[in-house]
Amino acid sequence: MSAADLPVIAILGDVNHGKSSVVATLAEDDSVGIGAFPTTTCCQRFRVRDLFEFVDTPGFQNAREALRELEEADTHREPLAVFRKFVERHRDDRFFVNECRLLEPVLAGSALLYVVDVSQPLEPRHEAEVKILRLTGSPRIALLNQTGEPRHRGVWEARLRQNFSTVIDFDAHRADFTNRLALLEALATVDLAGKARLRTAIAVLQRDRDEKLDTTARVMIDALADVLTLKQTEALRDPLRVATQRREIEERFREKLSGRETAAHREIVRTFAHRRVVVGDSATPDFLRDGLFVEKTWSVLGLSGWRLVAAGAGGGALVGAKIDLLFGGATWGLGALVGGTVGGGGALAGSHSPPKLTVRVPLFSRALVGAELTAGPVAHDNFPWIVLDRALGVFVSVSRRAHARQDEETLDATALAARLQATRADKDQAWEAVCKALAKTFREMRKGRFDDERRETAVRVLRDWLRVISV
Amino acid sequence: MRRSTNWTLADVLDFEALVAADERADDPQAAARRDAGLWREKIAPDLTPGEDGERAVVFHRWLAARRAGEPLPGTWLTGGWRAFAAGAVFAGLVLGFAVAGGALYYAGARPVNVAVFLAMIVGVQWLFLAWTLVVTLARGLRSAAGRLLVRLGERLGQWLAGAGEHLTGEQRLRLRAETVALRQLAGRNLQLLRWPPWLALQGFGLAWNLGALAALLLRVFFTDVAFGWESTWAESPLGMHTAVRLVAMPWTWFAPDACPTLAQVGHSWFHYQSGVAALDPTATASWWRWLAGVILGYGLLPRALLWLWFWTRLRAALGRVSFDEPRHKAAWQRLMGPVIQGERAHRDNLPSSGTASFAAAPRRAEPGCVLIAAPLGGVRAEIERWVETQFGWQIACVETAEIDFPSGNEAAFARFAAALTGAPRWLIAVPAPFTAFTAFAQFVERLRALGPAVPPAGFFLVVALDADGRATAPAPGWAGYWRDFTQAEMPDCATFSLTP
Ligand SMILES: Nc1nc2c(ncn2[C@@H]2O[C@H](COP(=O)(O)OP(=O)(O)OP(=O)(O)O)[C@@H](O)[C@H]2O)c(=O)[nH]1
Ligand SMILES: [Mg+2]
Repeated sequence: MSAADLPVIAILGDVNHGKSSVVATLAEDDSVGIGAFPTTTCCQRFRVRDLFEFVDTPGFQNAREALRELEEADTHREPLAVFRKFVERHRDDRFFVNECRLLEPVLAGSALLYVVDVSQPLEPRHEAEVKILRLTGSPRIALLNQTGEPRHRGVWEARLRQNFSTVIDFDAHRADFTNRLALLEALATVDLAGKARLRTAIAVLQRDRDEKLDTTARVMIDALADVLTLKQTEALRDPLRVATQRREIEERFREKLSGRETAAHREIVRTFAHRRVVVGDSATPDFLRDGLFVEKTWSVLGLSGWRLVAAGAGGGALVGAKIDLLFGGATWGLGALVGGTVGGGGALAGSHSPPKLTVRVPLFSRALVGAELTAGPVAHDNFPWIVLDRALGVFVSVSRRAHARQDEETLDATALAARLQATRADKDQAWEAVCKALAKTFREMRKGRFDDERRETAVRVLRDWLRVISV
Repeated sequence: MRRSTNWTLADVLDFEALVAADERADDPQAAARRDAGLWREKIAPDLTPGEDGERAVVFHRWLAARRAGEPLPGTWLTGGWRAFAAGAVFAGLVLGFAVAGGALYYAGARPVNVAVFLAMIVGVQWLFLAWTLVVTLARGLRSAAGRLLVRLGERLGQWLAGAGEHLTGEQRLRLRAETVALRQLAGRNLQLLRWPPWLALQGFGLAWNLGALAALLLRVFFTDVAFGWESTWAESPLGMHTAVRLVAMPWTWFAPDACPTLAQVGHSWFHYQSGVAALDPTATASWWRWLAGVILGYGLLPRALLWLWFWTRLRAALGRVSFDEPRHKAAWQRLMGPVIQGERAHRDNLPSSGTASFAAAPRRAEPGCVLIAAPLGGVRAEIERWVETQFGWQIACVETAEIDFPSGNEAAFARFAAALTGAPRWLIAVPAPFTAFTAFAQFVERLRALGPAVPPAGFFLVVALDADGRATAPAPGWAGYWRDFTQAEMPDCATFSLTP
């Protein structure tokens, strides 16, 4: 299919009303030029596979004057011919640079998406813009965007309804995936010629979205499997200075854990193609302030004690993990010393206090030459839930974030918790079942029974849950 | 429908190795360009319409295109495996033959004890089988075995790296990279890599039984062997015969000869007191068919079944190979390009919106004319006051104008031009934010076209409105934008910001 046959949708409107923002959100592309001053000067095309194209255009800057010349289209037999003549006449006219450029896709027969900012007043030049678009006779819908208080919404809506078959709300900074699809659906109903393509494109985008959820689920599950079994083992340097080395190992173990976690978070952010979202820098030991092992994290995230018990993740798991460590380590450790980590008490008492990592050196093997110290794995019941919640927080932040947003966002423990709580996901009925399934997964991970088939099952459970909380 | 059945183990490993190498590549852009090129030239042209969304098919073509001449780990690994499996088969044959040959040693003093012979040839195998079952079922042992495999692979890689001391630096680097890739592969495709060792083991078992069978037949056909049984505990041959019949059940219905009769069992019961001479030669010889049957039915057959089972498992695992992992999706995206492909944005030079610094207003008591942009009509009085106090002007005329509609101000322009003849100084109050800049440029041009009454140099005053509609200072960004714009359009004019 050649480029000429592709249905095109042109995004038009006054300067600064958010055309590029709408485009950035639609295309999930945070590199689109957006600014508080006139920014877009040339058309920028975005192609959705080989299905259709949308075009970001420069804003109108001389609409009222242009309308004077275009008005004759009202009675002309072929309205677009008037527009074509206008563009030819003013090709090198510096007073109509933007108009000529933005009319180009219109002349090629595109459908029109008129973006207005209802927090700005409706002025005469907007009336002119609306009229120009009506004169084209092209299929068109209007989007109500808002960059601030929607004070002029009523006025705008009334005027737009007179001139556009469809007027829909689309907040470029808040629109999520369903809003985007709804917009394309609306376009499909208006632009009858491109309808089939748009429907296919919707299916393609949906599949793409599912892929992203699947990727995220896989990244999360792999990270969980990783951190739940992570250990730090080092040769005992000096039996007389065990305490010092113990502290060092503990430190290195924590660093390793947060490093793995941060890498997973980055991967999730990358999956959703956000470059203005920053997750903790693993180079700095920020986990002390903000990471996995601070009271703040543990007090707001993870499962509550009774939830842990309900999910079957309490008590037994803790004891099991401990026994694994104490005996499993001794039998498999090939002369290694046993590293044990003891969580903060039982499921109910200690589910919300961070684990105290301790590196233990059993008496009987202290004298062994070439002995090793081991820190980890973390046996605390709530540990996987904390890790999961933090990852879910990252996911919620990026999967709902519109690509039009220009602010830099740093995801710290508080932000993650707030984001997660805002979804009220734990009130969802499905959450209980998810908890049960994942509790089983975590047990399998800890016991080294986590194989490919179980991984697929866990990925499926988590992916479905991600779909629930992503919109 | 997934068409991954044509993927071999070597394919999967090679594919994963290539994907892993791309993941670690220093220049992801180069990889993306290469893959987009491969898609265009080598892959897309050969695909049938339904196939372009099939990762299994597309990736297989991609692998074929990238493989060309390059030895990849999967290829040499499976080559190695094959050699190893062949070695196992050979070793099984030789060992089975040797052990059975040894066990069938007969010098005429004491017949070959069938129980001992079977224990050595078949019993040992069953012991191993039982042990394997324990390992497979015990979770700890299983994961330990998995880790052991990974460790072994790593060691092999290290050993190879060590063996390659004479290699050039580049080759060694490459080898190291390959080792890393291999390690990742082991981590990712453990399920798949689990079966070849089992297959090799069953190959060994099969060959062992064949070797033993060959030794038995050769001994029986070409040498004199007497088989017998011994027991201190048995009181009559009846028990032994029952056991022998039971064992032979699977084949007696079609080969009744392959089991000694009660009389033959009785006549091959060996006692040291009476010696070999007391045994019946036909009875001692009659055992061999039964022995061959035991090796076939209890050694060879289970091995063959196991081999078949592991082989189908490997097939099934290959059939299940999916391409849904994040790394596969990344490779897929390199081939297909992103779902939404944006053009690289082109930017014209735009006025900057930096903070504006303005010269102090020239205070001179002179007459001047003021044009106010229509949206600022409501703060006309404030603007007049500001111009009077800051510029010291006596205002001769104030007109509101549609600054975004150049040709829509005929009457106002006429009055303005008339006033300018007596008060030859002009100032235009413009709003911020504002967006119709080309319209404004045309507006100013129209104004100047009014004739000699309009002096070339004039002033602009940028005014913002607060939420209640009162005049305030514009945001620094907007003031700066206006200043840059007016400077570019009308270099001999000066721009000021309203300061309340
Ligand atoms: N809060 C908020 N701000 C928005 C929204 N949409 C756009 N903006 C802001 O409005 C300003 C203009 O946005 P752009 O998308 O660049 O507007 P445009 O219509 O493309 O402008 P030009 O390219 O100059 O014609 C930017 O500062 C955006 O951040 C929105 O939905 N909410
Ligand atoms: Mg723009």
